[in-house]
Amino acid sequence: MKLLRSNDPPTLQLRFPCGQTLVLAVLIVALVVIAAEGIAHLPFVSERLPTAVGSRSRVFDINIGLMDQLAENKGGIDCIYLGSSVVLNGINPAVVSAAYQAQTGQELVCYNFGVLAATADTNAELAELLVKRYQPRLLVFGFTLRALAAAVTQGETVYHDIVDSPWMAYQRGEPNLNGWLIDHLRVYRNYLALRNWMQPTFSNDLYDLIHAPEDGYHPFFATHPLDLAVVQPPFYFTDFVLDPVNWDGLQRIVALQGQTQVLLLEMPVPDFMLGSFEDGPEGYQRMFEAFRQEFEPGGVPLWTTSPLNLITFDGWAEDALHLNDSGAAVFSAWLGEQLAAAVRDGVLPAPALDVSLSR
Amino acid sequence: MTITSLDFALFAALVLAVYYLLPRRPQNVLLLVASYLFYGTWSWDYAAVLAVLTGLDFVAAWGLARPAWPRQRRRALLWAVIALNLAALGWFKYAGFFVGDLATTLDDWGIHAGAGGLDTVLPVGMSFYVLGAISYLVDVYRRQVPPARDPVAFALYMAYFPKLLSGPIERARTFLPRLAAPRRVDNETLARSLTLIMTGLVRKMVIADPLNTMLPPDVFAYPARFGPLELITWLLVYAFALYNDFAGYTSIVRGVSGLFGIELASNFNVPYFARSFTEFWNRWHSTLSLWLRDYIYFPTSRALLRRNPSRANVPNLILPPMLTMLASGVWHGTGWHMLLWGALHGGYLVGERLLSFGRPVVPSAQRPRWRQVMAAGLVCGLVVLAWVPFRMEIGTALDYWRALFDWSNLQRPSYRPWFLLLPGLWIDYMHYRAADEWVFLRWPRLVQAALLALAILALLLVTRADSGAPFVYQGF
Repeated sequence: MKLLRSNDPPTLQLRFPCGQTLVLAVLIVALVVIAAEGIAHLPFVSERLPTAVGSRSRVFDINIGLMDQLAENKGGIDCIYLGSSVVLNGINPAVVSAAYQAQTGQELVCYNFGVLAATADTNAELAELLVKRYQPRLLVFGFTLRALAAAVTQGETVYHDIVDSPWMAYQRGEPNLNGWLIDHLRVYRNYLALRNWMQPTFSNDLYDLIHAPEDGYHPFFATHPLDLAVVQPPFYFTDFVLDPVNWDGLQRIVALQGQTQVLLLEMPVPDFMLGSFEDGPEGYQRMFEAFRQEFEPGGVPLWTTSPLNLITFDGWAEDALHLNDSGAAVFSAWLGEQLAAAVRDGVLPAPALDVSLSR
Repeated sequence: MTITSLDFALFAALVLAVYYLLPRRPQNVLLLVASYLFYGTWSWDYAAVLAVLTGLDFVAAWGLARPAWPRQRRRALLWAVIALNLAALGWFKYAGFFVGDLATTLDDWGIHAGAGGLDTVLPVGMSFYVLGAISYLVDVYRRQVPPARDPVAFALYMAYFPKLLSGPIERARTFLPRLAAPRRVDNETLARSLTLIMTGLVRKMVIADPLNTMLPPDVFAYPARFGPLELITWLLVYAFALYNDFAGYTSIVRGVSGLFGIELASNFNVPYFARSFTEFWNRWHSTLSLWLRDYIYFPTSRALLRRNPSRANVPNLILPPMLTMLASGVWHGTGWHMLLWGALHGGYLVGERLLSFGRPVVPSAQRPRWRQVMAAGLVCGLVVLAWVPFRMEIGTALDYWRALFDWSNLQRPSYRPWFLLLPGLWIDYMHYRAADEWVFLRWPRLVQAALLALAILALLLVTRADSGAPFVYQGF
């Protein structure tokens, strides 16, 4: 106790009042933020400045802002295409809508929400968010076996990049300040779209952001033709193992039936790739048939493409896993016609309201 | 735990809360415990190395101060303890480099010796606290400072957490009396400390980190791919990022230490405005410069002057600055490029002495204004050019210098760094013009508040941006 007794004066000797400068500075910060938020809401500004939600997945990050813009411009969104890069590069919403409109006369407002490398578990999180946020009439989940396979490269990284972001946590009902601020401050979302201002790639990123497609579709322009001699089938074809987490993700997507019409769509795979499947093309088709039997009784159709030979050799990207722009056009036209036929036959409810009523 | 992390802010706040309730002596005990806890968050192995060296130096100092011992014995002890300190530093810092070089040479001769088992990692801060220890031992030997009686105070001199990772390199003769004196944190100390912290945060997080992030990944690996205007821009970016990074760090830790009522030495004073190389080294990392001056430059110079006490002693014009700067290069890191950097600065200093040899000494401030500006531009330019071998291996450095003069490839440089370089220069100019780093505290309250608001907003924005560069000087 002797150690604690001392005749020294106390170290802290503050006179009050103190800290007025700090209080004044905080007030100025608050005023600046309020003014900036007001400016960000002006139509002239809000139409021009992109927004983002602060996720490490750049595609997801920007897509939310673009979809918000599309929903605002068109008065709502009829359908969403969900999946990985095979969807991002493979479904052109404009072509689908044109084919659909040619058959039905109805305009279809759709958005391609393909996220690079996303597997079914990530897509389940996205599907739940997007259905709640935009209430589309149709949710199309396009997938290949990669979406359901175990140990897929980058699958887990993308999951955490998206799901762990503060805004996503806030959307799931987990309170956090950053998520709340992103959700409520448009000016903050504007800044987040430009938050890589210090990266060497900023100029290119900014160009891409300004020229981002309003329907989310990113065409794959082939730089050289497909060469079968150098293309190797991925491991999820040669040695497919169903991942329980991704299977659960698929079940969660299907469980959204009721809140929206869910449609499962097998994305095209080249014939030669099917040959490397464990039991050949027949085994591959049997697997999708099993999926169909699992989900169709619940009102969720599964449309398969592998037996149809829709895509010719020059419609594939050089990796033979994605469609190039011409392949995507062929596939998207087919999809639009199929949707129109399904609506006409009563298999699917009409995803778009009558133009004169809805808009 | 890094200095700019929220964890560190909470840690410092917790230590401060307890600290203010205690009298001075238990305050030192608290700071020592906190310092080792802080170091433990980096590595408990590092803390063990520090504790062993602290014990060794504390005991050795008593031997060095024994009046009964003859001078030769004390000198032998001094060299032995310095050697032990340097051996520890050398082992961790240079073993991998020299063994790696030896292995390469043997490989060239066809002998595959390998360098297994020598993957040593330098304990963070060791380069700094070893210099502090050596200065203490030499000062005790020279009887300029008595040996520390209080083991807690001495251990705190070695381990005090605000200065542990990257200095400033304090001297025992000034730091130990501060630890023995009562401390006072009043409104003025608080304002000055918070100003230092805020300035440091802005320098580090708003200026240095973004500048470092802007650097193209291959500019210092493949300089020939860039045009001279781009190379000049990126070299300036590197130079100002390095400066703001270290000056920012020093400013933060001085501010934090000020909250404990313990003043730390200033390390930076607007170095790029220096009008001579001597002035540059008084303004850049000055605690290291003073250490090198007192323990390498002066002893070398004294030894040379003893042989020939004339102003025209040419070896005395050349050897002390060259040896000092080579030692600075070795201290900064392994690799021959660091020696080249040191030799360049040694050459600058020698050139400056030779040019002014035989002329009357005119202080820089008394020269015509245009000459001051020209001299500052020349010194800044040559210093920035010397950062090239500081940053990259000799071969790449030569490529970089060569590409700087290849005017066949005139690509337009990025303008973005200037949004950060100019505010940084503005802060420097304000400090330089007022010769006072607390100049902002003399401004009207509303202007102060607006400036603080701007700093807060800038910090908020950069923390939400994609960045995250470590303090560059923690690597040394």
